[in-house]
Amino acid sequence: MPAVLAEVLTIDPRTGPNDSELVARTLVGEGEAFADLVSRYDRAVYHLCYRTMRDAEEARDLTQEAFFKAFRSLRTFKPEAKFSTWIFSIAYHACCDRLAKRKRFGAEELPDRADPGAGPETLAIASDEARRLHAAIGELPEKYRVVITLYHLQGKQYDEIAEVLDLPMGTVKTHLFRAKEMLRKKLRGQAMEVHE
Amino acid sequence: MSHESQDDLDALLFSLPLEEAPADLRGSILAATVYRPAPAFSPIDVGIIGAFAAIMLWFAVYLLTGHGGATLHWLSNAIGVGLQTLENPSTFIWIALGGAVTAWLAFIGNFMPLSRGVARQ
Repeated sequence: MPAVLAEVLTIDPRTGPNDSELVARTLVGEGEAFADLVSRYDRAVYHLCYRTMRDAEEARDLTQEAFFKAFRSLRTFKPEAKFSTWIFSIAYHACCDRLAKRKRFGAEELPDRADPGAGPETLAIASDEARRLHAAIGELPEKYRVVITLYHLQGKQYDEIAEVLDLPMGTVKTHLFRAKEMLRKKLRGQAMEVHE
Repeated sequence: MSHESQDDLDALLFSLPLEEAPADLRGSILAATVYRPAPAFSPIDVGIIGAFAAIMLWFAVYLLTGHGGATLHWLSNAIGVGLQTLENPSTFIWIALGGAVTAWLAFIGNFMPLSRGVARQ
């Protein structure tokens, strides 16, 4: 499991029940099991939605929608699959639908509308480098931004990133390579501005 | 850091903290899923009630648009035929016979020994 996900899990899957067990228990009516799944992944799903939409309010809505859809179609979840990949895929497709709607109504990609209550996040990005990287990711085109976000969430598990995005693995690797190149350029440019 | 190497950028990426989710997000997800009160009617109930309401509405409109006379005539005929049938003693005998068989089967069922498979469970 990537370190970034392990960091936010309140229940350690190495010692506690695994995701498939929790799904099975939810299906027999144990609500607490689904609550455990929510507590494992809500922050990561919110992160993915926020990075894709760049809007705190929409990210919140879409996170809720993703878990609601997952709960309703839990019977279709295959026990051999990974719950994280499944829920990220649901969330990402919900984001795509919302972005398509946004484009249909002629709206451009929205600028960051930061959550007014997101003080701890701002505080958490204490280091200057992290702040600059954060900004640079935000400037990436959507298709690169989402690949980088999933790379951040899922680590180097390219097959899972490809599954979430419904893209061939080669495309994912290309997008990731280009996204990193763009990030590197942006960070280099920012560093030069700072030195000047 | 120059970010010239792949590893530097990866390390920086993986060290980024996740966005802080709104405080009440988890609660609202759970309220919309596992803690959501069960609906008073299941989708099948809603379908049956809807179909019944639609038939009643159609029937009301049918009566109000002047077809009432013919329908009432048909209904009174049907009731008349039913009553005539009940006046026939052989109908009562058949109904009584059917009732007795049903009661006997229900009574016997309570004393039937369980089959081996069921008993083992």
